[in-house]
Amino acid sequence: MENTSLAMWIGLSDSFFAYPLILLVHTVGLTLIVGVNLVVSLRVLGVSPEMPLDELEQLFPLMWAGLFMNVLTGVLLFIAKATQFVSNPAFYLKMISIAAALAIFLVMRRRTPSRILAAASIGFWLLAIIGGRAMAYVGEAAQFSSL
Amino acid sequence: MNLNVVHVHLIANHVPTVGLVVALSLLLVAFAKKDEELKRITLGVFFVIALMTLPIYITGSAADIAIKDRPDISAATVRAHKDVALVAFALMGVVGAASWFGLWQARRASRLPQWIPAAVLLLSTLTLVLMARTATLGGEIRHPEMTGGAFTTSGAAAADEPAVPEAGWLTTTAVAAFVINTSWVWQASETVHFIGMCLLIGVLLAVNLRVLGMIKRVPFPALHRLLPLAILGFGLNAASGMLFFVAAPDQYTQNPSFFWKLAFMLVGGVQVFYLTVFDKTWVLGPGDDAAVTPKIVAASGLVLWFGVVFWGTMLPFLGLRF
Repeated sequence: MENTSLAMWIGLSDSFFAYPLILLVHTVGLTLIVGVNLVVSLRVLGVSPEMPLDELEQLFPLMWAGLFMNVLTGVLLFIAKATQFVSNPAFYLKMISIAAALAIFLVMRRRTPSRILAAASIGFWLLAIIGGRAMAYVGEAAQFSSL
Repeated sequence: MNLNVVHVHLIANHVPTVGLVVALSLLLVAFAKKDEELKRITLGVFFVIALMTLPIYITGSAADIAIKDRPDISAATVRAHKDVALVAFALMGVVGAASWFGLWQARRASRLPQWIPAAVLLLSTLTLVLMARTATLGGEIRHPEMTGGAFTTSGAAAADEPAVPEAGWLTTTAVAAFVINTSWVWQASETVHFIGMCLLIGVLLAVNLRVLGMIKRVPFPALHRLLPLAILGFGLNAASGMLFFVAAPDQYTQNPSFFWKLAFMLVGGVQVFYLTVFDKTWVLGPGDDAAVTPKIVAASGLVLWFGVVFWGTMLPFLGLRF
């Protein structure tokens, strides 16, 4: 997979539209997903109870847009460095945290939002960020990102 | 470009000293007259001075690189200037944050809690002392006649270095060594920087979108309550960002993306100030539509803060690779 022309282009091209743009979209997507989640989770935890929770749901499309951006750019980055990623423990920490955070989000939407779930949601998103950043420093990918 | 940066530093560096003297005088007058309005205005002045101190510190580092190898400049004086500047800058940040918090409280409770201007008075007096020391040492870099020495054109300056405090725990050298030599510091700071970014952008996204007309049923004061979290995110990022900067100033002072990031951030700071104190957004109740001016400010806020994210991500790519 890493030897496809797409993978080579992402990893090696000097073009602004290769690695820098992918990283930029990934970062903006991150702020949308985690940013919206933080605001909503903090509200559930009791910060600023004057905010009607159902009104905040209007922000969810932004979160989905961020998730779409990051799955897309995440897959592109994975294609470029698949071998390094699959052997990187931080990559699994990130993926499991994201899966857990999304599962919590879906549960919270179906049932009455609980404080425990909101706190867990914040915790898993922070773990996902920690895992994502650690990917650049753990395992064989140590030289991968210099952001 | 370097010469311009040096000029900016030499002109703007008067702001913290002169500005603090003016602001402190205003605050004393406000205390004497028990003028609550003047206290609030003065806190706003302190906040703006704190914002301006950031580019002054940054351009100072750029100036340091520009004059580094000149034989007529005493490296020890430059180092002493930098070390006091770092502490003065950090303390000015605390003054700025405390002033902002006072204004935020005053907006919410329509009354300023008295301990805040008192704390700002105390902290800013200390900051002024440090700024004055910074300014004196800074002046000695190019005006050795002030300390009784003569202008030198050769390496003579190095011979009669003034005695400066050597290693301390908060010197520029010590901070840089800590960041570079401790393996986890840079990585941990990056992670903190990302978390702070999400906090800052998340809150400002919700607040600015409300002003623009999305999530309109949320009364503005309810979102205003979240603003300290945005300031917390900014504080986390200012602290972690300064660790990067102090450890590797050359990566940033020579980097156009960094100057754009700084510019967007400073105007963004003014934008947050608007959201904190001004009536036009504060009065928005459930369902209320904002006027045109606050909408323009809110739209600018989104552009500015996502701009900061853009320039930050571009640091290693545009202008300079490192």
